[in-house]
Amino acid sequence: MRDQNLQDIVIVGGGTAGWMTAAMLSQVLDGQMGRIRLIESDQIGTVGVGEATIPTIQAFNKKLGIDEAEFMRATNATFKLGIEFVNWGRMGDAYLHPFGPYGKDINGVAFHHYWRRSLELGMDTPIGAYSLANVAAKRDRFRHPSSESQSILSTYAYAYHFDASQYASYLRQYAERRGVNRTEGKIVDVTLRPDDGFIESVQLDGGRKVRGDLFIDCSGFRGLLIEEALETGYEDWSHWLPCDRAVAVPSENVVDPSPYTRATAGDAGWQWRIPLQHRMGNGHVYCSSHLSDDEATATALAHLEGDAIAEPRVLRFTTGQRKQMWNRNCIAIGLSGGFLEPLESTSIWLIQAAIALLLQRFPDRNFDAADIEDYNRGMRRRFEEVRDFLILHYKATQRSDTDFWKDCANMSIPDSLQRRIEMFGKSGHVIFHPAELFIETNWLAIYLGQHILPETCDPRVHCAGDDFIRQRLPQMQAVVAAAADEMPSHASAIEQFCRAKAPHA
Amino acid sequence: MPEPLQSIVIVGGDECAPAVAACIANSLRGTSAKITLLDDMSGHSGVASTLPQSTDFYKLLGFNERSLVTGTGATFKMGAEHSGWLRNNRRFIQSFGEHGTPIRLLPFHQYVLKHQLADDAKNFDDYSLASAAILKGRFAYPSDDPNSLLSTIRYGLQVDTQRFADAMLKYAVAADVKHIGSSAISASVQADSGFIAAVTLADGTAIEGDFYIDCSGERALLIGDALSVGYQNWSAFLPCDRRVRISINDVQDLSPTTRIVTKRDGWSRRMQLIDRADFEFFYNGAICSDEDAAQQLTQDVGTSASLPEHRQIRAGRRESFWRGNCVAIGRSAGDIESLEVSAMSRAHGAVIRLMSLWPHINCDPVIASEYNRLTLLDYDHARDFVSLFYTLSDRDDSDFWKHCQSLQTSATLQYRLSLFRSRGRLSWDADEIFSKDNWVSALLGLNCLPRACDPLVDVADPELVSQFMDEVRQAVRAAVDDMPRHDAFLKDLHGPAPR
Repeated sequence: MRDQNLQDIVIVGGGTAGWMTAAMLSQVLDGQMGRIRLIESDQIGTVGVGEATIPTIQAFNKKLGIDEAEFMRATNATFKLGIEFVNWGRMGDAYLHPFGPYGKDINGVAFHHYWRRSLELGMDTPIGAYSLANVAAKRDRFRHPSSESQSILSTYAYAYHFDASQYASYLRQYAERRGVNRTEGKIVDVTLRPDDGFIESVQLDGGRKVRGDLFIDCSGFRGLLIEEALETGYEDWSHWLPCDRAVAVPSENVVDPSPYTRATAGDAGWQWRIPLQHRMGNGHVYCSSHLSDDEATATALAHLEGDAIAEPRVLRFTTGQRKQMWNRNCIAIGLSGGFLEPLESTSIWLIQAAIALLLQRFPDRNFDAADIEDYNRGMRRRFEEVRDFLILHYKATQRSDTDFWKDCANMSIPDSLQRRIEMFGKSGHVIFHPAELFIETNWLAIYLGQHILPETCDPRVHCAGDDFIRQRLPQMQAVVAAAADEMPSHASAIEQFCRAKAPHA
Repeated sequence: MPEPLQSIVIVGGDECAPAVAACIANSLRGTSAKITLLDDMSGHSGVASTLPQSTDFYKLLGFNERSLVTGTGATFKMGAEHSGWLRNNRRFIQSFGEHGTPIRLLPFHQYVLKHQLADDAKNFDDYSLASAAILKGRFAYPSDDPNSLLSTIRYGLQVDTQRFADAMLKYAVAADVKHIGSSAISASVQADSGFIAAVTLADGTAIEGDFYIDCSGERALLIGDALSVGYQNWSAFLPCDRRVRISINDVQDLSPTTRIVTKRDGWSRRMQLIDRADFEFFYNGAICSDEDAAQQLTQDVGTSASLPEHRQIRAGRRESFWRGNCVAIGRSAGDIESLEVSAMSRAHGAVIRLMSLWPHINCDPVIASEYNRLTLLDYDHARDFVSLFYTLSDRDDSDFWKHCQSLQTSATLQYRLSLFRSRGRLSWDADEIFSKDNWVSALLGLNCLPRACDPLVDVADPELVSQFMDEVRQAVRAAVDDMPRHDAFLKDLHGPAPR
């Protein structure tokens, strides 16, 4: 079978997706599965998706064997304990989606049911007070979690904010050291095999042809191979997620970076705030039928805390996914595969998930249909899960101050999400699948943060009795608060661990 | 806010009823809910085995597993031995343990496949401590230490269902379940809500509750008779609709395993308890008469047997399991021939799920529909697992096996098979009852070889891989010899005065 193994893997596009793919393939294939080539052109800018990540990024870096402090220095990274959502459920609201659970199960019943009961008993502590990630984030504190499962310091995870272009450069060095061949050039033509429509080669400006067995399309929104050459088709989800543009503008840091991302809802979209060591990443995601580019840009600029350090850049997108992420011998990874707005920092995760699944369904030159079908099924499931989670943020709003929000509150949503919301509203039970990215805490954060309060709690809460709840919950809250207070500040954690050499470079 | 349920009635008959009562009572301890179990405790004789997941159930109950084992004469099992599914009469083990460890992120079986495809017969069972323990009649509890090979084993129990039900009843009564020792004979339904209003006992007494569990077994008194929930028949997938059981007083062979052997007209299994062995034969009543079946079974057993006890198997499941204020658990919910798909563990899983979705008095249909969705997956997974054996068997030497050749394969199983046949990859979801290794053991044991192994197998240095595989095999051999014999282990557990 060895003679059927791939000999030439060609990655088209060198942004975050391209270099993440190249780095991981070079690591896993270890020079034993032919050549890996990445074609990119210095003339084409990259979108630099991400900047904010979720904790799963650690597994990726760990598999590459990356030193955390070195990587953080190289990418001006900061730590991240969650995402703060401002003005989503109602104007004036703020809640945090933390990377760690609320409280602890009691007698096999999830903590939030006890919390729900505590509201009826007249207690009014917000649920966030029982999550160490939440409390530490809001107090601008950070320390690495403990691996000691008995310690409260083991109850949270963390991710990073980093400069995505610097991350791509860092991974480029990594990949090139492991034999990935970077080819400079712009692709001007794609040749398909006449018999089966597989991609045979791509042609660079200047006439050179690059052949390959497997092509990975990391060319961004345009989908140079998957769409322009293979006409795979795109499934448009903008009826559920109507934002279709973003304007990005970095600014000077004027305060110490906080260990969380902030997403502030506006009139027709939302603004991100991503604190890095050397600058603040800012942007405004909006719906072009409700807001002009100029208005959106003006809003973004008006909210900057420090001076802008680059011209605002407008991006256009259509939320949705490619009908097949893997078509014939071409796999779309990154924006070429689909786009979901970065509200929950999932862009890099979707790249990571695509790479992981590719390695689990790695082809040879036979390109079996069963493997391709299973890959596509797996990626669809991941995209749809993130899609539903994002839609929840728009649907669960009581805002009626603009047409945009009125439309969101009234839109019909996928059945898969409807079922989850109804279930939680009726019973407080969170539907999630153990293999999913978002589990109980994640859904809870958004439901409760946006005023979906269950009608009831789990009846088994009454086994413990109300007095137990009156005593126990304040104790738990105090333990969390004390643990947060003992952590160093986020700024000093960065200083100690991973201060970039030239912070303002 | 809706009120909590105040009165729960469990309509018994099925062997799982006392366990269901015990679990509900334990979960609602301290609340004002009243729980009534209607069961004459007469129809529970038999034998059953559990999957490793049932440990969660004992934990939820706070039940001491050791006293359960000693109190009911149960034995441990670490899997099953199969023979005769293929014409070549190949034997294989379906163990609950892990096989090897991933190498460079690839599942271990891919490396075994590489050798098998190259006609270098490496045996998947050689890399599993649980499989080795089955062959050598050894048993030990799993270890928490991930560096120990003992952390790779799992186990279930083989139990006498009557004694198990008695133990559960005792527990339930101690947890304030009111036990009424007679069976319900009918149920009435409220016209407007479609809820069960009451059940009636043989003496005419009506018992009312606001929530009912139908553990009435194949009678399906509530979910079937009263509520007319439909039943999906699976005879197109699964061939057996009858089972006969005999017991013999054999305590010679205390292997921690269930032995499954195919016969001319079906398959039989042997389950060893502490003081007897039970043999069951599963067959198709249209092809083989009850007398014939009993004879095929006793033939092998040789020694004096108890009277054969027959029962019907209605292969299939309910269209839904929870309707209104009634949930069906046990054979009222579905029935699948017991080829390592433990009905007892499925009932344990169902009641754990029910408790996690425990309703209020209004029994919100949203909750019921989630329960139904999850339970349906459980049944369908179990059906597919049993169906796998018939799909892959190549026997056609009798009317029974010819009939098996004409059975259907579900779309979900087809999908799984086509992915495996491509490169030995498994389509598997994290919430399935059977582990990945269970599937791989069965697929390889039934000689389902893919066209090729995972191409990434070639990345690792083949010599290092071979060396590593040899080390695993040797470590398994060494570790199994350090495990106590299963009979000695049981004797120790039962204490100095054996039963």
